[in-house]
Order: sequence, then C-alpha cells, then structure tokens
Amino acid sequence: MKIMLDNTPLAPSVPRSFSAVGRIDGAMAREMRMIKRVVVLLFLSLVLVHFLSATTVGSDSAVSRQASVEFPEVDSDNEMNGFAAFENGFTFETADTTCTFDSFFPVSGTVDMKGGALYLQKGLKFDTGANLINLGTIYGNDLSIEFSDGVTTLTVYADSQGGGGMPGSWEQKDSENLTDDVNSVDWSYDDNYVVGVRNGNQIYVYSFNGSALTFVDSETTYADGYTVRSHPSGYYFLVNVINGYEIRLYKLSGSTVSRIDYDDSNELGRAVDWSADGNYAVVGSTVNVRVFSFASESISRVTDLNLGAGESFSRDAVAWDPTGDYIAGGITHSTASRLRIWYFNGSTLTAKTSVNTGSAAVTAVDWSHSGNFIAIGTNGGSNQLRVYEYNTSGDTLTERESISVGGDVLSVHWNSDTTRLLVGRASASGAELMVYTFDSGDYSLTLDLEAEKTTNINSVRWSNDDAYFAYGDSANNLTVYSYVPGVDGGGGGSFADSVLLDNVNFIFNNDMSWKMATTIQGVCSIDARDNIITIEDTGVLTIESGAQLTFENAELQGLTAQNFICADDTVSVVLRDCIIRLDNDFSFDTGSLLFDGEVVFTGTNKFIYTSSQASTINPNSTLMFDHDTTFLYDPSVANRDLISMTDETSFLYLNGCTLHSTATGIRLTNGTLFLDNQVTLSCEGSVSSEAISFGDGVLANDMTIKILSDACVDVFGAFCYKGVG
Amino acid sequence: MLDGLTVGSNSTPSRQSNASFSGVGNKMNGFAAFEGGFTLQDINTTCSFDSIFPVSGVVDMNRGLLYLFQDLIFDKGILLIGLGSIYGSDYLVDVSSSVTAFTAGDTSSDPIVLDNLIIGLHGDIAWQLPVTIQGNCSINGMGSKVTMEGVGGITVAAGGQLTLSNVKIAGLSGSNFVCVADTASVVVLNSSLCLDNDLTFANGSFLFEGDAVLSGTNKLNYTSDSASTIASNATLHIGPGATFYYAPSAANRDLLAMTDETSRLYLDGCTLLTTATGLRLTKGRVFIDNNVTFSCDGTVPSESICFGDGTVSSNDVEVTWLSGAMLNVYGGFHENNVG
Repeated sequence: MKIMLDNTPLAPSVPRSFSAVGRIDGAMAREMRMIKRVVVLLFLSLVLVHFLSATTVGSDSAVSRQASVEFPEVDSDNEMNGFAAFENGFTFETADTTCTFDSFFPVSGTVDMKGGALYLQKGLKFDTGANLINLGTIYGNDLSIEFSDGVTTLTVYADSQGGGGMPGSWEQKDSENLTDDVNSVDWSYDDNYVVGVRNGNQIYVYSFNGSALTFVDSETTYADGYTVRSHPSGYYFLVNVINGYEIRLYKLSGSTVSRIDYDDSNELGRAVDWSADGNYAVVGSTVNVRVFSFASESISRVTDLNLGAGESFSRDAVAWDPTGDYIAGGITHSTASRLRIWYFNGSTLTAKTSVNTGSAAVTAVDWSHSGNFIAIGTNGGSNQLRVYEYNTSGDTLTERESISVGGDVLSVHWNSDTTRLLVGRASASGAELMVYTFDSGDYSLTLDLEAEKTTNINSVRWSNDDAYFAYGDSANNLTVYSYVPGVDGGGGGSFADSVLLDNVNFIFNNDMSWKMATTIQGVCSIDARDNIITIEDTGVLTIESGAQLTFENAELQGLTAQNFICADDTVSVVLRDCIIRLDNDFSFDTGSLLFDGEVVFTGTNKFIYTSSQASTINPNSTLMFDHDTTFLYDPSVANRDLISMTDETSFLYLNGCTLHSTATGIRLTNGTLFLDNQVTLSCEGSVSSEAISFGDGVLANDMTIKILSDACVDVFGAFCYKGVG
Repeated sequence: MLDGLTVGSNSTPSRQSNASFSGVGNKMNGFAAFEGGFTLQDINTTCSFDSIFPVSGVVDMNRGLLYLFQDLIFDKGILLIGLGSIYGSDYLVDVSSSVTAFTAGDTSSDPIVLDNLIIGLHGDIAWQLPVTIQGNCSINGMGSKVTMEGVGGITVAAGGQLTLSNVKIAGLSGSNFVCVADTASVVVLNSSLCLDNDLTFANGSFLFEGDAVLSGTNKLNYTSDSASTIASNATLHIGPGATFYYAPSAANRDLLAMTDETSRLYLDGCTLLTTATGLRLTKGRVFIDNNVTFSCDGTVPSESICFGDGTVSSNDVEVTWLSGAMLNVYGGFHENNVG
C-alpha cells in the first residue's frame, strides 16, 4: 500500500443511511450497529494504512526535483520512482529501512543509508557534490553504482541520531553491591582503585585489575556519603556527607582506608573537586563556595564566597578548570538556578559570569580537560544536557549545544580529550546511562552508546585513561565498564556494522577508503578507474560461497588475510589491471584468483598463496612481482600445479623479486616467464618432484623463458628445467 | 502497429514497455524511457530515436533502420537480439556489458550500415554480422575485445573512416576487415589487430596512433596502393609470430610512412616481408627485439627493405637493438641513412 508524499487525505466514505432517516426502530438499530462497525473498520483501516504506508517518491509519469527525503523503517516498499531527481539526497530512518531505487537521474545532496538496504532497479550515479555519509546493503540486480569524485570513504553505521561513523563499544567488567544507594564514585589517579560513597555512612575502596573489582577496605563517613573525589596524584579521597557539616579527607594506605583530616564547617557540603595540581580543593555547599589548600595530608581553608539568596550547590556539581584558575558550580534555586563561574587567584575568589537556567536546577557540572567546555545537566527543562563554552577574556558563557536526554541529569563527566561525555540520569523511560561523542568543531553531541538501567545513575566517572568508566546507582551498585571508542561521528541506537553487496558493480572516481565490513554475494565488481582502494582498519571484505568479486583498474592496499576473506573454495577473485601493494604479508588461503590484463604486486612483503585451488594467468595477461616482493607458494594441499598459465601469452614477470616455494614445489607450464633484475628462486624441496620447475617434459607445455639484460637469478634449493623444445 | 508511430512525448515523461514499429517514419520521443526495449519489424522499418533515457529490455531491430537524434545507451541487462542499420549523426551507441554479441539475428551476408556513429563498448563482443562503415565511425572499446565470427566483418566504404580506439580486434581473417576504396581509412588508436588467419588489406590506409599492435601468428597482406602512416608519438608494434607482408598493388616502396622521429616501428619477434617492390622506411625509429626476420623478394637496393632514403638526414631511420634481438635478413636489405 502506497501513499504519495503529497499526502492527499483519504476521505472515509460514510454511508448515506447514517443521516437519512430519524426513525428509531429495530431495523435502524441494526443499521446503526452496522454503521458503527463500518466506522470502526474505516478508522482501523486508516490507522493500518498509516502504519503500513510506504513512502513512494516521485512519479513514473511526471518529472520532479526532490527535496531531501527520509524513508521510514516501518515500510517494506519504499520507492524512488523513475522521473524523480533526488537532487538533495535521501536518508534511511534506520538500518532496517529498505528502499527501491528506480530513478533515471543522478543523485546529489546528502545520502545516508545508515546500513539499510537499497534495491537497484536502475543504475545509481552519485553526482558531483554528492555527500555520502553511510552506505548500506545493496541488491544490485547486476546494475552499477558510480561514485563521484567527492566520495572517498565507504563506511556504514546507522542510528536515529544521524550516524556518521562507527559506534564505540562497551562491556560491563564487574559490579559490586554496596547495599545502599551509591551516590558518588571516582577513580584513583592511577586507575588502580575505584572509590564509592553510599547512603549508610560508608566509603568503599575496590582495586581494579582491568577485569574485576576486589574489595580493599571501607570506612565510616559518619553520615550518608554524598560526594567523593580522588586526589590527582595520591591516594586521598575528599568526601562530603549528606546532612553533615564536615568535609572529610581519607587516605588509602596499603589496604586500609582511614580518615586523616576534616573540616568542621557550618555549612552543608554538596560538592567537592580537586584542582588539577592537587594543591587545592573546592567545596560547594548550601551557603557558599570555599577553597581549601592541601598540603602535608591536611586541608586548610583559604577563602570562600557566599552564594546568592536561596541558592545552593547541587550534589556533585562543582568542577575546576584544568588551569586551576576557574571554578564552575551548578546552583539550585527555585526560580533562577544557575551555572556560575568563579575566578581563584590563589588566595581569593571572585564571582564571574553565570547563566540562568530558571527553575531547572543545574544538577551536574564538569569542566573539560581541554578547551573551555563546561557540560551541565539539569533537573527539569526540555533540554537537560547542555554544553557551554567559557571565554576567559570576555568572561562569557556561550551555549554550544543543548539536547534532551529524556530525564533529569544527575551526573556528567568528560573524557580526557573532550571527545566523549558520560552521562547518568534519573530513572525514567529509556536509557539512564549514555555516552555521547562531542565534536568541538561544530559542538555537536551525538549519542554513541546507551543502556537502560531502570534506576537512577547517580554518578559517572571515566577512568583517567578513558578505557573504563564507573558509575554508582540507586540500586546499590558500583559498576565498572570498559569502553572502546568508535570512529568519530558515531551515534547510538540500532546500527549496522556490516553491509551486503549482492550482484552490484561499483565504479569509483577517486581514491577510496573502505571502512565497512562487507559481504560479497553473487557476482560483483569494483572498477576503481585507476584510483587507490585502501582497506582500512574497520574494513573487511568477505566473499560468500560461490561468489565472484572482480577488481579492475585498481591499486589495492591494506589487504590482509584478516580483512580479505573467501568463505570457501568456490569463491573466485578476478584481478584485472590491478596493482596490489603489499603493506603487510598477505595470505590468500581459500578460493581462486584469475589474473587478467596486467596485475602487479608491489611493496616489500610477501604474497603467500596457501589456497588449495588453482589460480590462472589469462591469455594476453601479465602477473608481475615487482622489486622486493616475495611470492611464497605454500598451498594447503600437495599440488605444485596451482598456478596455471593458459598459453604463451600468459606472462609471469619476476622483476627483482623472490619466488619461494615450500617442499610442495611449483611447476609452471605453457606461459612465458620473464626474469628481470635480481631474482631469487628459492625452494624448500630437495628433489625434482619438489622443485621449482619450468615445463613438465611435454613439448606442448613448454615455458618460454626470457632472461632480460639486467637479470641475475639466484637459485636456492631444488630447481628443475623440464622444457622439451 | 501503424506506420509513422510516435511513442512518448517531448513534454511528459513515460516509461514504455516494448515498443514495436513497422513501416517508415516512426519515432521514439524525448521523454519516453524504453525500459521494455523496442522492435523494428523488418528491414524496411525506419525509426528515429530521440529519447534522452537509456534503453533496456529487449531490442530487436531486424535489420531495420534507426536514425539517432540522441545517444542511444543500452542499459545493463539489455537483451540485444538483432541489430539493424544505424545512421548516427555522430551520436553514440553505448553498449553495456550485458551485450556480448552483435548479430542481425540471421546468417545473411548482407551488411548493415553504420553511418557516422560512435560505438562505446563495455565488454567483449562477438561480431557476427557484416557491417559497412559509412562516414566517420569509431569503436571505443575501453579495453574490450571484438572478435569476428562467422559472417562477421567490417567493410569501410569509400570515403569512410573507422577509428578503433582502445579495442582489440580478433578473428581477423581473409577479407573480413577491409576498405573498399583507397579513400577509405582505418585509424588504429591504442588498439590491436589480432591475425587469426592471413588478412588482406587491399584498399585504403591505416593510421597508427598511440600504441598500435599487430599480433597473432599470421600475415597481414598489405596490398593497398595507399600510404599508411605511423603518427607522431605513436608505435606500431608487430608482435611475435606476426608477419607484415608488404605487397602493394602499385610499385611504391614508400607506403608505410613514419611521420617523424617520434614515430616508432617495434619489430618484436616478427617477420617483415616484401615483394620486389621493396619497402623504404624513413624518419622514424625502428626497434628490433627478439628474433626478427627481414625477407625481401628484391635483389637490388631499389627493391630492398631500406632504412633511410640516402638523401636527407632528417629522413634517416634510427635503429635500436634490444637485448636478445636477432635479425635474419633474406634478400635485399639496404641501410641507407645519411647520418
């Protein structure tokens, strides 16, 4: 069922009898019931239509120039019609979106398939200026996709937030139950320990070895622990408690945690933080902001500054800047909550600028380690997560980003290079634990990973090396995750980490970075038009059973046995007029190769032939191993005839390279062998049946050997010339 | 079906199923997309192609006549059953790799006509019908191979010129690749002619440009009395086993011209054979590689295979011997450079 984008309303037709007669009798009652059923059916059908409706854009009878179109996931038959020109690109809602491309016209604008599936009914040409964000699965129907010269990366990743990269990944490593709400957590400076404070008057210290938490010690905090921060260079932990007036300093010594100092203030402390050099600590309370100095394992008051009337620090909502000159504080107020900035000159505090967030209390604050970005979370408001940039010279705070996270934010923390923001929020529908990527160029926050925990995530903290994070929650847990960042620009939600290419032909018009895990099915080809294809770290090509992949006019680099995988021996790979740059040793262990035209291996590494299948040099074709390369013939079966040369116009050109064979030996027949420059023939075999052999003793199979003027051949191990003619 | 049928519009786009035409004066209009292909009923059917869209589906021209007013792009997946004559008006017929054979759908030796047409290939083609080339036509192979099969052949009409660009022509044999008059010519541009059997070139001329190759193990009998030329910065490579037999119908030994010193004749394990007319090469460079044979029926210098004309140093031929070269000379050979 399809609805055109102009959404012409579907008018339900009401039976005339509904308004025809005013009589009430049995017949009419039956009629009314019937009418109700009809109306209900019409309503349901409209709902169903909406639910199942496809997006068909364009027409097969009228031309149109389309604005950018997003195709929804819910539909199974989205379609881009024949005479629609997609000048502004198209996007898929999610990785589960499918669409048919049947347009005659080239596509320009931004295209983001987010890993969804595109079925070609026409060849797809990306016009100059097209911006391809993410590719998807392509069912090509033997048609082509031609990428304009502006497309230089093939990647895939999709989510509802926009995608643009590969997501990070995380894994829970361990979790400890502290038997009451865990209000605050932190890492020791060396990431060897994780500390947490909870309701129930306790501070807990756990060691962490990269995979597990091990209890070390706990100590009373004399009141419910509210916030804790670890010293940047020693095993010292500063703690605020709920409804208590003390700032308490703890020390981990060996396996013992003990209180070593405290300050008995008259204010209720809410938030603490150390300066980057560890010489000062700031405490935000219900009354003021106060700076302590830290020396000789004791804290001393330096200065303080009162807050405004009705203002109070929120829990965990204070942060030093990396220079130690500025402090940011999150303030709760009934009508004028604020993010406040103070300047600290080593002896006094000076209030600087602030921003008013109204009744939305600023409940979380963190200052980036690089740059002057301040992330805040709010309690209430439509956008609970915001990023400000503080300009020290102008004393201004500029809002750079604000987004909704679906609930009140309780904690935020930047990673060390300000590319990731860890967020914990109050329990509500959806995820409570989130990692966002932050782009300091365009200030965008993009959801990277999220998880629903169905409890308040009270406190979140990255480890100092960014490889882990810890959180404390209202389900009494102190939990540690590992985190591996993805490619910048990634989002969260559902994503495709690989695509399928089925019977499609790619044409490139520029060098291409292949960053996506790709499965090849059917007969596919890639014509690089003399450009370079680089298989990047995230790129993998897996060729399915029975499939054929042809590379034409390409310089291939970055190939390894791990990123170029043939599923079984029915796979065939055709190299036509290609250069294979061996950045590493490259093992070809399954399936067969067909060398067509001029195929050159370059670089200083090995091409290791371990397949059990025969590969062929076509007529009128040359397989060249260039300077310093090694062709290692090491098939997985004892067969020395797996490099086949069709006739005398099949050339094997050994140019300053090494041909090495295991004791299986290698026997070349029919073709023409060129030896140029310093060539090494090395064989592990010791008898003629294990040798590198030219010819097989049958006249018709003789090799033609051409030793060029600068050639010098070193022979190690068994070598056998069995030419007859 | 009606004579003079017009399909599609020049103002409203449409997607057409297979359109069938008969008689004369038919037309395929600008905004009709012939996704189902088209059929010309017979050899007497004429039709104008004016669509801006590629053609897919099934195309059967039944030797009918098509006039191009737009490029005709055969899309991927097309099924080309039979060709007809095409008057191209310098437009292009772009042939997708789905097309593997040019046939008329019969075995008739009557040729079709390709007139002022550019053919673009994206895959190898079995050329199974006789074709007469009129006007200026070209085949841009983009690396493809065209193999003459059965009655397949190419005849360049008087005044016609066929340019072979980036294509390998195989299956050449007998007279399946000829010019009918001396006013006809063939340009071999970065292309090769593969001699599957002896081929006689009795009329017209070649212009070799870029890297031109004569390959195979048979003879090209050059019996034309028109001069062929190796252009500047061009190489004619005569490959191993091939024989260039210079036997012009006129007593003229200067019918293989080299434009200047950047014109190269690369003799690679081949045979250069002449009648007693002899063959005089001037101006360019000759490379001798592998086992090359000069064989001349002439016995005196004026009938010999001759390098240079002995009068002007600028007409000298520079000879380069490559490693492994061996030259066997039979009959008259005259090195007649001045310098």
